[in-house]
Amino acid sequence: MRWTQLPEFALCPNNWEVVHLLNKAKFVAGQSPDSDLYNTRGEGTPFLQGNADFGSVHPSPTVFCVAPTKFCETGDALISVRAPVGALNRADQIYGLGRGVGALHPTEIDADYLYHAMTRWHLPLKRAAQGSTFDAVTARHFRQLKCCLPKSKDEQKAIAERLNLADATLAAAQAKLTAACRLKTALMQQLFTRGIPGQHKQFKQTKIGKVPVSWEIVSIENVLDGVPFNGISPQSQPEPPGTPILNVACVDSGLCTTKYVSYVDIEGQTIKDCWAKQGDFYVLRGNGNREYAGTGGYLAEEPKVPTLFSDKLIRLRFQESEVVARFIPYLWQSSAFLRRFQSKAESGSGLWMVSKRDIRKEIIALPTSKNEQQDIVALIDASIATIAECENELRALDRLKRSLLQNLLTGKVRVNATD
Amino acid sequence: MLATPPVKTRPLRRLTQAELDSFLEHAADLLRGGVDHSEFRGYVFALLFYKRINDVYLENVRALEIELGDPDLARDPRMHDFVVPDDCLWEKVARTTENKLGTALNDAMRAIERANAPKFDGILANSTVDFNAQDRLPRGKLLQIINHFGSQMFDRAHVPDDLFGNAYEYLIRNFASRAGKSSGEFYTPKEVAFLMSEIVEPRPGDHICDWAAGSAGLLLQCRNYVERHFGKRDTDRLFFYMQESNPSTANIARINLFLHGVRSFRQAPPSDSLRTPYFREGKTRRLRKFDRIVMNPPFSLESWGYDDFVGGDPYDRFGTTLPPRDNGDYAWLYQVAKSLKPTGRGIIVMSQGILFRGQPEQTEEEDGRNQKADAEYLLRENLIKNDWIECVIVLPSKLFYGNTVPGCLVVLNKHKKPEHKNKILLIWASRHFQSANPQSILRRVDCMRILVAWRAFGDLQKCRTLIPQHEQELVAEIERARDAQLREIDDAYAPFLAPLPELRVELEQREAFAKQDTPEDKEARKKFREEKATYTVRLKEMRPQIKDLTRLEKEAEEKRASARQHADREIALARETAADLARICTDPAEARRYFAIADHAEIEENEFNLNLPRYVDTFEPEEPIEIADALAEFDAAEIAMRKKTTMLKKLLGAKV
Repeated sequence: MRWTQLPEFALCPNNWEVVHLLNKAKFVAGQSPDSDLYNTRGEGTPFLQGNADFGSVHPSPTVFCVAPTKFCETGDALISVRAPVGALNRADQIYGLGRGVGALHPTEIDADYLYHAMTRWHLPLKRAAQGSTFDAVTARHFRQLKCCLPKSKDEQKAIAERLNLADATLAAAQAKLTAACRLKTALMQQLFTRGIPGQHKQFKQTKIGKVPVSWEIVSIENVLDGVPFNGISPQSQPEPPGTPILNVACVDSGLCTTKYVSYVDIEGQTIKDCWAKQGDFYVLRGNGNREYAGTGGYLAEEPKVPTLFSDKLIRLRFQESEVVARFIPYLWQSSAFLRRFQSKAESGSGLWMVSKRDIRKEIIALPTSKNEQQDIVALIDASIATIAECENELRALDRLKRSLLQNLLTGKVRVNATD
Repeated sequence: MLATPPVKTRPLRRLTQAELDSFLEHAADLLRGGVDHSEFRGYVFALLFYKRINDVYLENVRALEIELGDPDLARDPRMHDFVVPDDCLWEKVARTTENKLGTALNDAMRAIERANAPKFDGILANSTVDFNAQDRLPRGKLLQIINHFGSQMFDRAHVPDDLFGNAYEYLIRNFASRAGKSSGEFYTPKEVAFLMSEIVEPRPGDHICDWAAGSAGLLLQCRNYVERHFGKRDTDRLFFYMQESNPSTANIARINLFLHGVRSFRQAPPSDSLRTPYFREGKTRRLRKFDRIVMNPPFSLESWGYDDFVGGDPYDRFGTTLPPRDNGDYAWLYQVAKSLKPTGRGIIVMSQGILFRGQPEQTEEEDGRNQKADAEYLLRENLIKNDWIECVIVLPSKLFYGNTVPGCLVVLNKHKKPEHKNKILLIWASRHFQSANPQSILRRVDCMRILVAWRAFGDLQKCRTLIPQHEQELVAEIERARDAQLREIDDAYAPFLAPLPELRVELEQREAFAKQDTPEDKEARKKFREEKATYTVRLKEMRPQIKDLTRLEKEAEEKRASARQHADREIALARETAADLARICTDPAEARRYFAIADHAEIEENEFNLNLPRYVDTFEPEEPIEIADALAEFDAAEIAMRKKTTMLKKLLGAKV
């Protein structure tokens, strides 16, 4: 099938028509004036250079231009026409358009309907894009675009209204997720330095700041079960066969999972002490990005098959008599601790490294009561569960939105314009 | 009749710095491809130097001829600072047939050296530059370069001394950036060299050494420092010492110093400074002591000479602990420390590894095995305990040619002020720089951030008083540079544009005349026609001249405008930076993100680890969020979300 053919064209219902988009809207191709005319001080018109200036719905440009030659108007659909091609945004004000952006200005079509209809072209445009240095689409491509359109303006409006609302709901869900994440950050900031709100009245000054009087300052080695331990580093491959081995990719956002293991060709019996166990905590020994060096992941589930761990990771096990499970792994994620620890990372040649010695010597503030530790862990557990819930909501809404686009824009499901 | 001034249509004017730079860059372009760039370098530098002395010599001869009226006397060697024998003039040598060219050049170089001995000894004719060695410099390339240089006059009228010196340095830099690491050179960018000179503060009368001199860029910056702060006359009271292992680079260094008018220097024969330090006290093996040392040695040199000294170091640099076999960083540091006078100060570019490499002694209980303390740990501990390190500055990455590893500057001072004793100033300067490819640039404003912290030794009160002063100095410097540039443009263009106003007036008059009505009177009409005919000829001649000059005038104006614009931007940036610095220096917590003073107790607590993030707060601060606020925000978001979902369900409920 040609890229200009969408499946819905064949099924266009009564009172609908398949029309060339440019018969109902005007295409404005962007143009980039001399770079001398740009500034970041806010002089002139906000200027869109390409996909990088696009936001989730509305653009957020960083440069301004005193003499743009092409403009879009409020409500226009904005399309990225240079690699990556096809991204869509909505103009919430007048913008100057650079050569990476094109605008569709509605003339005989509902503006909202036009915007939503363009989502159907995201992938086809991407496929049709061509160019020697980078992919691009031109006005020639846009001349070939068609869409299924209800003849009645009211019906166009009714469809657009529903899609707009779906967008707004998605945005609200996103905002809720953001709020849930901020809540976790707030908890992380407070629980490990001040304890649970309201529980402590008196604080003492320590080397690492103020902490509740009843807490004690200990170094990591005081709560360790054994010494920090490096894994092994045989040649590994991304696919089986072989023994699975945990590596850097397995550690992310405080967790260690067996999802991204690689495989090594090693007979099980020869290795004694490098087997991963539920409850282990793995610290990244080095990373090119300092933000990741020294971060850790908690292995929450027992691996289904015996699994090794690589020497890019340092394994820590904690004494259950001293700390409850997950307390230190959670503490490790708190910025107060992590920043302090990461500032020990060293980079001679671009790779930031932490040492086992630094881990052992690092100090933490520990609630002496295991119940209090348990309460803190429970609070963070709950916060993480909330985030997961929000993510599920967001995923579900996203599917709903896609389904609406597929059904409402094609006339498969008709809406009553008088609703 | 109006006067007809002589007009040159193709003016040969004085070059501006930018034009000269691009002319030389073209020379480097000619050599692109084929053999390794560093191989060619010696040839280009030697030929350029040859052309320069040739043209300057001829210029002197011409001037003397006019002054004395005697061409023979004008060529008398006693009348000249240096001479180029008649057979060796560029014009003659360059016209030699292609297959004799190599020999002719070699002979000419040798003859010039002989005629001027000992002034140019080893500069022109030496083992690294053999024009007959076709495997190193193919003859085609040689011809291209000779033709290129031949197309430009390099006498003082066209290229003044300082301009040529700068351009020569520019060419060195250009080669360094092209060759990258492959040439084994570690050229220090001018901006870093500037910063180093401002920190090490050389004074007139100082003996200054660079044990890894390269093309002598660091020493020349010390000279510039003295010129800036004491005056041009005092620059002759500096004594330079340089040692460099690469013979062709050592050669370039000599020419470089010569072109900058430096006469008081000592250069070691090309040799390895770690294995055989050349400058020693008399005939002893003790290293000579200097007032100032500036140096950018190769990072983490692998074969630095461990095996030569494993049985003991005859130069008494390392004491009981020898730097590790595969890394010479600490060998350089100790060489500097041991060759500084008790009142001396040194600054060295080092890889950041020296700040933290090496672990203290570890027991089996701690680490699973017993381990002795590493050499670098002990060497660092010793430097700190001797209280020789005064300051460490971590620089942005990508500043140096051919590698992206972030370097640091280490300031050694054996004579710290009492209030600096047992303290080290640590400056985290890697946040501010101009990002560029392939090299990032440390701008003057970035240097200002470092220098303010350094001169105040981290004291915020002092910083605040220093900032306006530094800002003023920088702005004045930018304005001076701009004015110099404008003057340079004026000097280059003015002589050729001088006749333009007159020409324009004449043109106007002549055109007005041509438009007059033809007189009625027969006699007058005849005269008018004749005159008009001559006018037409003159007009035809004038118009292209005026067009040429107008274009030249426009070109000059554009250059002036761009110089002004550039300066305006720089000044705005300087003001912005000063304001930002003032903000930083009013808040101790904020200042700690840029620099910190660590006393020896704190350093010892950190096991003599000088890694800066241990002392300076190098992370971006996280926004503090109160739990109660976050909870309220979450509640609001949840309510909003529920509302939207209900509306959506209602709207879709009927049909979907």
